Amino acid sequence: MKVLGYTVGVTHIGDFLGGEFYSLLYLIIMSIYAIFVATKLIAHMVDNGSMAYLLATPVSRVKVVITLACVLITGILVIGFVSTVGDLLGVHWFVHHPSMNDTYFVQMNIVGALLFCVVSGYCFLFSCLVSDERTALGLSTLLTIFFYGLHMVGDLSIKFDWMNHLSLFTVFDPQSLIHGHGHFVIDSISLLVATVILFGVAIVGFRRRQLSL
Amino acid sequence: MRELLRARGMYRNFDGFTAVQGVSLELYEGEIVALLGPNGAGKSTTMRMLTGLLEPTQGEVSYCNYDLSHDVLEAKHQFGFVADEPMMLSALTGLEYIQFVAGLYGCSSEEILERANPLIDRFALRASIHKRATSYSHGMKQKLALIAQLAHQPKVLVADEPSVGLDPGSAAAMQDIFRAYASFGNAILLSTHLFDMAQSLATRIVMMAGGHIVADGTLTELTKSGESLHQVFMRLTGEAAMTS
Repeated sequence: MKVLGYTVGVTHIGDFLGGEFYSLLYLIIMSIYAIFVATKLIAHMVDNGSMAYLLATPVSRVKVVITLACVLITGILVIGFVSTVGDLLGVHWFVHHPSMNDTYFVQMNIVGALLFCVVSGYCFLFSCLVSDERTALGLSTLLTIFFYGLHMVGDLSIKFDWMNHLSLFTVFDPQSLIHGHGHFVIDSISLLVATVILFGVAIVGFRRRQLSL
Repeated sequence: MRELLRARGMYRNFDGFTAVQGVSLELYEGEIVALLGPNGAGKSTTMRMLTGLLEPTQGEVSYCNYDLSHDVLEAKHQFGFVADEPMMLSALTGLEYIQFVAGLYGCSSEEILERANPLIDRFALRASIHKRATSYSHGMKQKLALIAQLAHQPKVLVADEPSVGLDPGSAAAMQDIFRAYASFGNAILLSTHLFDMAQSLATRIVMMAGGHIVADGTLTELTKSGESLHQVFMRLTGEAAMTS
């Protein structure tokens, strides 16, 4: 059950959402968005030459890259916001007496969105630092699959539990968070710090890089 | 005449290979300078250094006395750049693209439309100006990129092979627009492989070969020995290419 996303069993609608949506579909949607948009925003534009037009204008390179980073993060936050509000409205409209705690549900969504800010951060870093679009896409996809694979195998058996400590996705345990069992504050702060560091390194790296335009 | 562009002793190395060696160039008000040279002569590298896309290994570039490496934003306000491969931003229509690019230079929407509308008509882009720019042909993209750069009225327009992909009518329109633009006290630097265009349009011709400038003068000065421009080009760039 753990590998399917049901870490504490099914006691209310929140457990169902945590196991069915947030442990699989949500991760896939957010991962695809983060990988493809991060690659499109920088590496694709450098690769096809359209970045040359932006960088020849009187807009600093740092301003260009910060704007593109904001576009990426805004997308993550919008998806996170829509899924939070959509699920809450759906639960309260269609389920009679839902015993789900809305505060914990929102906290779970915040951790999920912050996790994908970190994923976007390393995808954006690859996009800023490598010389072609395909390499950036490949590295971002491989690292994301690697983290997801470690988390999945770590949940298969106690023998492989140590793998969970190496995976970024371990931070996001939807069912525990919905029950208020997670470390919401510590996890959120850690993810936020990691996001700031990754985007910071990406911005500095892009500013210093000699681009093949 | 006022100096608008000044490049001094530009060098550029790529992994042990020196693509540009000690290039110095000035552009003055009202000038149209054609940069001629065989493939691999260093024209595009020079253009990229002049527009800040590539940092010179050595040397300096300034526009209207603004140093491109120190007063970056002020210097970039003085020029517009049209690359050899026009790249459009997806999701923008032709008009939105013009407004976006010129808007980056601080122009208001009214200013942009006032300047762009006559050019849109001159380049016969009116019928497709509200269509997505990514759906344009190469020539249409080239014309759109030129309009976008002229709409913010740079003191210097740097254009890398601007006539590639243009039909004869559009190429003639481009030359008329360039002449008129330079006559208002601006300057244009364009690279080209077309001798006819260099002869009919440029007030000065600069030839490059092997990363060096091998000739710099008016058509009359370059051809005073009785040779045609093509013969001068072959003599200067052929020898330089073989010895470099």
